[in-house]
Amino acid sequence: MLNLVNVEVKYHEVILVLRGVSLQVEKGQMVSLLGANGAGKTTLLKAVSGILIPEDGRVTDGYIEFEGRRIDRLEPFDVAEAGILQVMEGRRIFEHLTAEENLLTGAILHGNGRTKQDLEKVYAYFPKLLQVRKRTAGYLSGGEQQMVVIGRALMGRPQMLLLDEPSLGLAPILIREIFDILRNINRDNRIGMLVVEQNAKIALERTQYGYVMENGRIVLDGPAERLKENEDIKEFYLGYAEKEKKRSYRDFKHYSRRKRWL
Amino acid sequence: MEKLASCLVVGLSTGCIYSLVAIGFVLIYKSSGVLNFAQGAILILGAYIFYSFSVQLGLPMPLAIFLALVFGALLGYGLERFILDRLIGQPVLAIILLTLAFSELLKGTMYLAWGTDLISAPRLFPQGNINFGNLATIDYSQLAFIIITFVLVVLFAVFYNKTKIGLAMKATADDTIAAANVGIKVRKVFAVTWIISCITAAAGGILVTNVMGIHYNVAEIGFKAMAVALVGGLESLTGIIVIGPILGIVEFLAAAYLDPLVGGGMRDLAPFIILLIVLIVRPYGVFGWERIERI
Repeated sequence: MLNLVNVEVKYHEVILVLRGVSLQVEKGQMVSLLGANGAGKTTLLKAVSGILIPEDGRVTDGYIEFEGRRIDRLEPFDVAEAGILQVMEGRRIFEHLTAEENLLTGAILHGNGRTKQDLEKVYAYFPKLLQVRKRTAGYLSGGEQQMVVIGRALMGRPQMLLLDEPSLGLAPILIREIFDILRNINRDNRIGMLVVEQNAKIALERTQYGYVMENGRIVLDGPAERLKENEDIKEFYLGYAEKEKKRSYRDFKHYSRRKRWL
Repeated sequence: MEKLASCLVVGLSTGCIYSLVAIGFVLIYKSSGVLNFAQGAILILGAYIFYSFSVQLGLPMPLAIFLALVFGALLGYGLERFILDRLIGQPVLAIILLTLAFSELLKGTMYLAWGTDLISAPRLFPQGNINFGNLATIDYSQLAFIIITFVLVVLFAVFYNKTKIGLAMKATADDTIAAANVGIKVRKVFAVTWIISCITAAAGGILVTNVMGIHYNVAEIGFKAMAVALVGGLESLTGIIVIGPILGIVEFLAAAYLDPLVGGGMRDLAPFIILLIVLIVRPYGVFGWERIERI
């Protein structure tokens, strides 16, 4: 459904951020994208949703396809119209609008008709929002804001959601709640999801497939079950040490271990 | 007592003109965060165009007004499409300075095209007035200003709060990138905003010059209107409709009661003194959006 082939992205024509990334998300699949800071995860999402363009970034090589149609030259709203909506990092909420108005902005995309049903559907997934719908969104709690932003994207009836760190700055219990809801949305509506996460543990628990990025490349991918068992993933992302031989930091060389992947 | 009453009446109608002009500032600021310094110049240009169509070409008045408004719309569209569109993503300051330059360019063009003489505009409203007892009288044209301003502000408020494009404008104002991201056609929103704002400017120009006469220096009224918009809060239509008349009245009261004491000039000074005080006490204006910072 979503297909990235050898995508290379440059900012300002010189800064190479993605160096040939290939990635697929099938219809109704929930895929996680892991990686350290600066690996290029957010850039990858932006390349898909088209908001690279206002930031002076460009797909310089390779291509991005969605349902067989090339989308890497499209403006953000054309990508949205094609069915891909991004939930941006850091809860980019419309602060001065109320929670409900925020949700309604998501419905502008497809116009009239089912707005009311869609709104009810969002409230069914996020019952908490029903209580705060008239409140100014800027004053909501972090969890509520994250719900508003996800709900806002749902109002646009996406076929695919790109989620950039939905867990950022949230309490562990809320992270679980949000991931559970995402899982339900994914199951009920067959909406494909590509989730960028720092919290590898929960991401691998709730998604079906995973990609690991480093330095603008995909270094590892596989079904979430298998990734969870991978020694490198365990060590670097899940924080488990091998039980038999507890090692001290002295014989623990990040760089040499990372090199093996490239 | 009569002096006071007449100050109130004249102040109210002058203030309404400021409000009318300030609508343009607010519309543009609300959707793009830009303060359009060219508003005053566009206003007078609208008036000149109206004058050319109605007097120089002898077209009937309603047609001339219509054509001047169409001209305003085209100007707004062109400005957005060919100049400002290229600046999307650039610092807001660059755009603001560009509007300042555009304002000077327009003034220069008007100077070349219509000269420096004060031209009196054709009358829009019948002559005559209404008496309130023996206290004050109000001209038909003054009354018309008040009514037109109120009607327009109410229309815009409804437009903003009840329509989809209004919601899209509010969202774009709040976060342009996020708006594009939820599928709002940001360029279209900007284009619509500039078109509407230039139409209101042209309409304002036709009205203002009806009392003041047409001259490119009348563009200075843009600064008074900017004071209204800043005091009221740049995002607020309520602010405009409340503050415009208040500043208008203050102006005339200052002229009537303070000028004899200080020897003149208070009329132009008073609104800006108020602006200064308001900016110190409430930097976002009386009705403006408070910046939301969660702790």
